[in-house]
Parts: sequence; structure tokens; C-alpha cells
Amino acid sequence: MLQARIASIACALCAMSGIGPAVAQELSEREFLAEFPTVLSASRLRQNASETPQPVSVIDQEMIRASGAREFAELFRLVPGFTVSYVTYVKGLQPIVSYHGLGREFFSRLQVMIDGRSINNSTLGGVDWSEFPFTPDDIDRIEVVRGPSNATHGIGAFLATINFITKHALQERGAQASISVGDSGIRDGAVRFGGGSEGFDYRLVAGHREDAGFADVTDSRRRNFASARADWRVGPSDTLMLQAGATNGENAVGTNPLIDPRRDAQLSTSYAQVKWDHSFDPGNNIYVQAYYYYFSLTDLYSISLPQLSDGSLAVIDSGSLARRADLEIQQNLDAGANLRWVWGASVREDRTEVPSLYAGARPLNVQRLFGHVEWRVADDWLANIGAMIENNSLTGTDVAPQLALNWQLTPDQTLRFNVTRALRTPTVIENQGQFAVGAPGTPRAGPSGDLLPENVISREISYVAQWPEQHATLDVKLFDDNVRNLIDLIGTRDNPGATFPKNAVNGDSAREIGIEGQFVWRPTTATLLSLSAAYLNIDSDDNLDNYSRSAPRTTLHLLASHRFADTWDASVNIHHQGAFRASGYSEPQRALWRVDTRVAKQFPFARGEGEVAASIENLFDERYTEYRHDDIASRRVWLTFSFRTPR
Amino acid sequence: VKRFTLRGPVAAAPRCVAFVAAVVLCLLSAPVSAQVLAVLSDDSAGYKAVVDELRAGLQPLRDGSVPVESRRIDSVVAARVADIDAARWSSYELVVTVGLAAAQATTPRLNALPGAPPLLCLLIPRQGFLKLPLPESAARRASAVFIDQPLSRQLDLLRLALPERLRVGVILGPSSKELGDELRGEASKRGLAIASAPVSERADIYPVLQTLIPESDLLLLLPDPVAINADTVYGLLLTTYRAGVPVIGFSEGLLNAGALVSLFSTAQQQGRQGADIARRVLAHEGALPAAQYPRYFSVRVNASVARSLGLHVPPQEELQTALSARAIEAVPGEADQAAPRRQP
Repeated sequence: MLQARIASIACALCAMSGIGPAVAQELSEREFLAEFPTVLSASRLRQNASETPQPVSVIDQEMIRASGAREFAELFRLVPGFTVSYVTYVKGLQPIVSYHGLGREFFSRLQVMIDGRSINNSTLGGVDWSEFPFTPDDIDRIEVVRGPSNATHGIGAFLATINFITKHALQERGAQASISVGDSGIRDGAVRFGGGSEGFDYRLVAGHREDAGFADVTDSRRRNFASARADWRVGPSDTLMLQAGATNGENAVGTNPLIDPRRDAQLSTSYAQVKWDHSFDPGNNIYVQAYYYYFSLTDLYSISLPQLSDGSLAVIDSGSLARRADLEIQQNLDAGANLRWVWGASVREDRTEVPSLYAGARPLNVQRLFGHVEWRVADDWLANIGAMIENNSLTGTDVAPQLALNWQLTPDQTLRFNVTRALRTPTVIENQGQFAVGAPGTPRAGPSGDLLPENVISREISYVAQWPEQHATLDVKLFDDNVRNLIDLIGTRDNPGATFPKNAVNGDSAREIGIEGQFVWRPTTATLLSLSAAYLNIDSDDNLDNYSRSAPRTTLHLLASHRFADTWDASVNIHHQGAFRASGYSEPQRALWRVDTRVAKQFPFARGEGEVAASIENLFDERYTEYRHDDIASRRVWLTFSFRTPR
Repeated sequence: VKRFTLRGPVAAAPRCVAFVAAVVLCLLSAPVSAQVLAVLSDDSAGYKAVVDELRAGLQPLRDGSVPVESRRIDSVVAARVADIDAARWSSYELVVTVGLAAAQATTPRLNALPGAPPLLCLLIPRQGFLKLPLPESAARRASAVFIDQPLSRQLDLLRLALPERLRVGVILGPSSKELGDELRGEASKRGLAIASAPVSERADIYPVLQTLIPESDLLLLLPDPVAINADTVYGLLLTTYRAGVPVIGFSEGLLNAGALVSLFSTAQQQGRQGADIARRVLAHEGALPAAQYPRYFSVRVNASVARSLGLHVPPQEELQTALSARAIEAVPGEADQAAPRRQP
């Protein structure tokens, strides 16, 4: 009797501590009859390359590691048609990523998202590439849609769309830490912890990034960042993703002691995001997502002006503030074996304050409705038909349709024909900014007000081949894109040729014709090869800007990586781009060849796993220049030590 | 209290009168000639479906006069039924259990009876049946239709569905680890290589997947309450999908959750096979056959997942037909091996 009681107490204790001889752990028929929530629901399943209407390049964890990239923007050198540059005279050092040119220092004609959350800055429309609140290790993969895709990716998906997909909170368990030290003031560090139980998983990341930018240029950067992601399985059919994060730091700025003195501009961002996903059944699910993004640039300084004869200093406020709230709903529905639907709607509000450019701006409100149907017309013909209707408070209502036909030549080869119209809504500043480019006090133009959205009509034929057994894919795209109503910051409505004052006008058109492709091959699990190449010709009257030279005519990128003896990783990146001159105030950039390399060794360390990596960017010290001729590239070497506890 | 043997003065107390009246009513209304007793672990739909199928399958026999008395497990283990006397038990020509718990609860009761009716266990995992406390003397008095599919059939399915994928990843939990050797043997016969990783608790599954996924062309799930359950399936499917590694499941639930292909027997199929056996026993066409793997089974392909992964899997009907053709010769031999202690 006593023994029985002791046994039952022991059992109860075991049950409480969760280690017990689990009675319910015996295999029974319940394992066979159990129902599970739909994990791979329609919205989580990616379209296979043979079914997407357009080429999609995927940069996965292996490529991210092999690229050795410390800067997020650098990853896009891997993708055909992309150009990566740096500018130092807008808020300090900023990477600029463009696809098929037409890029300039302020705007981006790309849509860039993190987990479906747009990070395009709503003041000028650029991308805050330095404000990522995590490290490249937190990214699961990056999907790059090469081509306009409003109908599937919404507002801003103009020339291309980049979606960073961060790792699910389940994917990383335990603690990790890394530290990097290197040339040009590189001092990076990050810690990460992942945990969870009973359907609630979370990951916390915090870190610091710092570098001195280009030699002899006032462009150093310092950032602290922290973010959290939680994935919660609320019930058998419902999941909730919660994210929040913030960055804070300084960019050194200052190009001219008289009117633009050396100083630190303070940058901070924060965001919160919640996404609820519900599955009705495996072929029918819906999600609702809301997020808020806050960006602030504080840049107050004083200079002496000749106009102020009493010798007092004029206070200049070059700061800006942007707040975005966005709510989106989307449903994915399999309507039989040959028909799939995606439809959704979103509302967004962008509020901005840029004291130096205007006062009393109205918020930009955007509503959109989009739908997209994937219809298997015959066994070897798939049609993707979609459209987005966008209404915004600045330019009214417009429609962006898409029609694509995929012809499956063989099970592993597909030919795609795609015609798309896409839009880029002007940003608040483009629409209402009163630009005064020149010495403070120069006259300003009134807001341009009547800007039209930029639009593109894209016609493309692409070919995709997969060799599943060799783990190889090839995609080649031929394109002819007509871009109209390009918005530029030159002239005024009444006098387009005026040097000053300026504001934004719909100025130029550009026709872009070319071919590009990417071949990715994993001959063994230890080896990765990726080859990208692009040829692009831009034809434009260049009334207001030099669009026709705004992208390199040719780009080439080769990535090769191999894992030796299961503990050594070695990779090399060879990058070539032709000469070009970005739009805006850029100076010409000459053609360049650049080689990057990375070697890493893993070893057991303190019962966990350690890794030491040496990264060399620009191995042969090629002295090419960026937007400004003072911004001269040079070799940079850094060492990274990282450690992870046993998982 | 013995309910079926009345002793002492009947009218000793009014309570007793009521009790006796109830018992008499019960006896009158009870089916006097219940030939089959079905004991269910649970009364949820799956278990009932087995009994429905059993009833339907026995319909042709004796002009439809073979009643199947259905009872839930708690009415078997409760004192009331523990006191069913030997004569009553012996009135059943066959006892069918549906579910492991029903089998575990019924076996000791039958063991205690000298002339116990034969026992047929349905909806029971093989290892659960082999661990039932059946004495040697119960040989050929107890049999089963396993709910699990033979490993040979699972591996044949892999060869048919994904012929180019030869490296089979397997997570072996506390229950499934005993299949490791048999799995390797069957795999090598088919030119497949097994990459297995042990898991002893739920939290291990993610680190195990990190090492297993790079070594696997596909992941074969073997039933195990520790390794494969509602907590682990979510992360397992998400991680493997992101790595492009298809998952082969053992249930319809796993298929709906995101497995590429599942091989399983439904409750109806278990009931149908049970009815086949019951008919033979009741028609005195022979003793109870050896415990056996499912003869009826389903293969289903998750077309959305296949499409997304870019995999060209043959239609599920084709897979099923091909496997069924093999099953006819394969199952009896295996079933005999599966029940080595039951000698005539």
C-alpha cells in the first residue's frame, strides 16, 4: 500500500516535471487517426518555377553564407539584372539597389519587403538598407521577382520585388553569438536566442553594426538593433506570427564645411507586425496582417549664411519622419484541380514630415484590391491572370493587370509569355515636396500636385528548365519594357528646364530591351555554383536625366562554394559590371571586376559549435568608384567568430 | 454485486425490487443471441465506422441474423462487465476489439475464461498487439489486423512514387526504433539507403532534422508518439518543405497537413478486413488466421505539395494499383512472421 502511494507520488512528480515515464507515449491507433492542422497551406506553398508567371530568383541560406555578404544589399549582386552601388551624400552612407537601372539616390523602383512588410521609405521611396533589425543569419531565403508584379505583390512592385523571408521561430533553437572585426572600422556583434514549447516559439536577436565607410569620406555608420519574432500555433487551424524590432544609430554626414558641416545624423526605426493565418482546409486559407513602421532621421545643424549679416547662425533641419500603417487580408483558394485563386485587399496610410522640403503635407492613403487566378487550361498550359486596382489620395484610381501563359514543353521545361502593366505611385515628397536644391534660402517651387503614377508595360518571354536529379535550374528571360511618366526632381511644372527651383515632374520615358539568365547547380550537397548574366539596353530621350546610361550594359556574377572535409567552407564570388552612370547626381562609374572570397572552419567549442571565418571583399583591391568619385572602393578583410550552444 | 445470479429473498428491500426489475428488463431486451461482441476504445467516428463496416460485412451471413453488440471500453473495464459470467462471455462466437485500449482491457478478461471466444483485434498497431498478454494456449484464439502498413509496402511506395530519391531519412523514436534493423534490411533489398536519427524526446526533433535533412532525399515518417505528434509535425513539415525534402506519411491527417504522399488504411478498410475474417470464423471455415497487415489500404498524393516542390509523382490510383498487385503475394508471409509466438 505504502509502495503504491510512493509510486503514485513519484508519478505525479514526474508528470509535473514533464520527464515522466509517459503513459500516453505508447504507440496506439491514435497516431494513425490523428488530424493535424494544415501546415503547408495554400498561402505557404510557393509556386514552382514552372508555374510562376515571371522569373523568381531565390537566394537561400547557403548562398547568403557563401556570398560572404556583410551588407544585405550586396546579396543582390547574385541576381541577374541587379546593380548595387553606394551613395554617401544622402543621410550618410546608403546602399542603392536597382534593377534595370533608372535608379537614383532617393527613390527606388523596387518593392522591398521583410515577411510581407514593405520597408520602402515613405518619404522619398528609397529603401532603408542599413536599418535591418537582424543579421543575414536570420534570413531563411530571399525571393526576388524579376519583373513588374503589382497583381501579385501589390503597391510598389514596379520593376522588381524583393521579399526577405526570415526564419520561422522554430528553425533556430538555443543561443548563438557572433563577433566580426576588420578593416575600415568593421565592428559587428550579435546575440540570438531561440526557444519555445507547446506551439509557441520565439527568437530574440540583438546586435551592433559599425564601419567607417569609404576611406577619407565622412560616412561612418553605427547601429544598434534588436528584434523578436514569435510564432504561435493558436489552434489546430490558426497560427499567429508576431514581430517587433528597432534600430538606432548614427550616420556621419557632411560634405562641405561651409554649408554641410561634419556631424552625426541620428537614425532610428521601429516596427511591429502581426499576422494571423487561418486554414479552413488544405486548399483554403486566409490571413490578416497588420504592421506599423516608423522611421526617424534627426539632423539639426547650424551654418552661417551670407544673408545673415549679423553673424548669427542659421539652423537647418534636415530631418524627416515617416510612419506607415498597413492592413492586409488575403485568401488563397484551390477551386478544383485546375483552378487556384488568390485575392486580397489592403489599406495603407503613410504620414511623413520633412521640414526642409515642405510643410503641412497630407497623408498618403492607399487602398487596393487585387486578385489573381492560376488556371490550368490544359495539361501543359497554365494561365496566370491577375489585376490590382489601386486608389490613392494623391493620384486617384488606376489598374495594373497581368496576363501570363506558361507552356510546359516537358515536365521540366517551361516557356512563359507574360504581359504586365504596373504602377508606381509617387511618394508624398515627390507629390508635395517643395525642393530647394542649392544653398539654404534659395526659392522653392510649390508642390507639383498633379503627378501621375509612373507606369510600365512589360512584355517578356522566359524559359525555365529544371534538372531535379542534378539539382540544377536555369532561367532565361527576354524582355521589352516600356516605362512611362518617370518622375524626376528636375524643373517645375511650368518650366521643366529650370535648374532652380525644382520639384518633381513626370518627365521621361524609357524602353528597356535585353536578356538575362541565371544557372544554379548543386552537383553535390557540398558544392554550389551560381552563374548570372544580363545584357540590357535602355533607350530614352533623356530629357531630364541620363536614363539611357543608368544601368550597366552587361553584368556577370559567378558564385562557387564548396564544403571540404565537413568542417571547411570556401567560396569565391567573381563580379563584373559594365560602366554606367546612375540617375540623379551620380558621377559616372567605370566598369569593374571584383572578386570576393570567404573561408570558414567549424570546430567543436565549449560543448557547442564554433566557427571562424575570414571574408575578403574586393580581393585584388580594385579601385573603382561609386556614386561619387571620392567614394573609392578598396579591399576589406574581416574575421568573424561565431558560437552556438548545442541545439 | 452479482447482477446476473439472483440469490436471497427477492423482496428484501424495495431497492432490490427495482434492481431486479431492471435486470429482468435488461435481459429481456438484450439480444439473446449476440454472436459478436465489439469492444471499442472510444466512440468517436473512426471506431464506430469500423463497427458499421463489420456489421455490413456480416450481413450476408445467416440471412443477416448475426447481431454485433457494440460496447465502449469503459463499459468493459467497469465492474459491471467484469462480472459478466463465463456463460455470457461464452455465448459470443467472436470478440472484436477496436483500438489498442480495447484489446488491452479485453485480453485479461478472456484469459481468465476456460472456453473464451476467439479474439480479433482491429485498429491496433503491430507492436501493441505483440505486447498483449496472450498466453501460449491462446494460440489461434487471438488475431489482429494491424493498422500499420508493412515496411516492405512503404518502401515499395517510395520506389514507385519517387524512383530517383534513394536516400531515405527516418526519425526513430522510442516506439519506432525497434523497426530500425528490419527497415535497413528491406531498404537494402530495394537499393535504398537509410539515414536514421534517434529521438528520445520531443525537443530533440529540430536539431535532429538539421542533421538528417542534408543526408536525405525524402523523409519517411514512422508512427511514434514522441517523434511524430501534433507538436512536432508542424515544425517538421515546415523545415523539410523549406529544404525541398518531401515527406511520406502514414495517415490521412499527415497528408492533409502537408505530407507529399501517405499510405494508410482507413477505419472502413480495417472494418472490411475484420468482417472478412469474422465471416470465415462464424461460418466455421477454419480457425482464426494469423495476425496480418492491412489488405485494404489507400495511397494518396498531395497534389499541391507535389506541384510546389516540382515533383512529378504518378497518380495515386496508379500507385495504389501497383502496390495492391504486390500486396496479394506479400502479406501472408509477413503476417506469419509478425506473429511468431502463435504456434498451432
